[in-house]
Amino acid sequence: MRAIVFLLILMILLPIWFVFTTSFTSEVAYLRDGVQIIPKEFSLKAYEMVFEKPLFLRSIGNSLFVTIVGSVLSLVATALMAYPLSKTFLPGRRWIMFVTYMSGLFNGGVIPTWLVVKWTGLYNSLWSLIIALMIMPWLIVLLRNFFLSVPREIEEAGMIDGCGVFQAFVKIVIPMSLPALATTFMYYSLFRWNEWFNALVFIQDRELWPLQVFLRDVLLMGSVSGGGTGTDTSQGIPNETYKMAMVVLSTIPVLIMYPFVQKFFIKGLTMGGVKQ
Amino acid sequence: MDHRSLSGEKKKNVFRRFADALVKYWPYYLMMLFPAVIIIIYKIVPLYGLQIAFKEYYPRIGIEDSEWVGFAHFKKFFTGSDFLRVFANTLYLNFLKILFGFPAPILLALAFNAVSGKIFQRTTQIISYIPQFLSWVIVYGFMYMLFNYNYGALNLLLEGMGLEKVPFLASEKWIVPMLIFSYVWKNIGWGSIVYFAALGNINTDYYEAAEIDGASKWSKLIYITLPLLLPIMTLMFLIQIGTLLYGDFEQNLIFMGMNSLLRKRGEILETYMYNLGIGNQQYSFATAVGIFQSVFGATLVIISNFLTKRLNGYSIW
Repeated sequence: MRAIVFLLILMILLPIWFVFTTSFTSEVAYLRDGVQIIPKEFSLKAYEMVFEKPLFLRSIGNSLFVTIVGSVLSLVATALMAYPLSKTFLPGRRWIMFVTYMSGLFNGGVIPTWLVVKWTGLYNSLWSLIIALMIMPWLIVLLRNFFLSVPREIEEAGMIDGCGVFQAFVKIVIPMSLPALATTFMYYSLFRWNEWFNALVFIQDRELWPLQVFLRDVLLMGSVSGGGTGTDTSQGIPNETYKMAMVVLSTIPVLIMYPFVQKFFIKGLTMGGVKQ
Repeated sequence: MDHRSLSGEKKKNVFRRFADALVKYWPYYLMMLFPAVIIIIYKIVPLYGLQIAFKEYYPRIGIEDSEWVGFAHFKKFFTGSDFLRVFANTLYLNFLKILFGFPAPILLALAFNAVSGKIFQRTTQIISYIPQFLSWVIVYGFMYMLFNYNYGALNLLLEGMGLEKVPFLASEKWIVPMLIFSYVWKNIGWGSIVYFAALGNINTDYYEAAEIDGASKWSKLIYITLPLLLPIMTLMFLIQIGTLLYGDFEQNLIFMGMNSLLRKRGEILETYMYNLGIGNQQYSFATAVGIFQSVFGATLVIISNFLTKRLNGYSIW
């Protein structure tokens, strides 16, 4: 059994390992030998080149901006919506809940959303990604279900002590809900870091491209010619290894965060039922 | 008092009740204001834009003034030569994804469950979830290292064995296997979580009783484990059936790249919509395709949810 599991894990790790080793190989050696399990000629040239690319650095900055600012705003908006909806005495909450949920299930789709983005003047701005994609309705449902489980007595005790609704929310409910809030935040930030399709539609300028869009461009430009035509090989200018260095650099933030976030994601799986 | 004034009275009551609620609970409503505005503008207002599917929309004229054309775009889509190809591709890909992607996590969970050594189990599990956290662009980068024509690992292996190289990522014949493989690669670990959790919930008494009766490993698997996994298996299966009309948009888009040859087998409803709408600026037509997908897709989701409820007493919503 161990052997089977080991082999399966190897299948998952192998492509990641190959990308990693290739990014540290000199272009000449790569073009001569192809993918190697252990790099034959160690080289950092690809990374040097990547860091000389201003567009790449910009795209990292863009992605970080959208991920951090966007996820914070997403979390705030989601919590502000989810908390009142968890109040069973609030008139109209069923109706609001229904509309919110349905807005996730049926939406205008790519083009009508894009038209609204243009109409609100966000086209070709990073704010289009932050604002138009701010809310995932199913996370409102998830967080609301969590808020429902916060004991009412504690809140009421706080209110008797003179807390208003806002104070009770900030001082009592939020500290009690940190794991759920963290889970929600993680979902948003992972979605935002990995998202690229909307960026492709909403953003035109290369300088505003998020990392994933930039990476896609680099990867696909090479594969048009079937994966390296052999141009520039004589000069040893990294092309293939350069791409792989970018893949590595784009993966690293996820891998660094990964051990911390995976727990929260598994929690999310059980918190709000099954969601893909 | 005639009927009209009665209903007027009622209406007043509704408003009155709403006003009262607003006075009494205003902080709660105030809280919802910001997210509600965002939802209305970016999730509900776009629904208004859906009407362009029934119009001949030109950005210069605007939505209002564009001419109504009824179901012309739908007719064009259904009778056009692309419909069968794109529709069939979407269904075929999802069918294969279920065929391979559905049992794979179950098998992995069974393997994890059977493996000895807590540390080994935990480590391998955590590694298996990694691909789920990566974007399709990055996954494509990984697949590129395995499958590219000139220097990819698999082609080097084929060459080493004296076989002919295969352009896995650039041939019409191989696009579907590539999509399926990368799909399973990305989802197998994450998908195994629910099954692994279900396996952990099985009472060990069952196995002990079976062992006393002299049951073999296989009969334990077939007569105890699988029947007990059946509810969660049906649930996951139905969820997948529900999304039969939705493809992995980003996956297909990146794997097809700019290679128009691959469109023949790799084009799904979403990419078709994108290429026509954003690429060719056929906004109305692409929106019509989107409506078709939403209506049929949502119907499937609702049916599958209904069935889940009937079978398991568990609803997705």
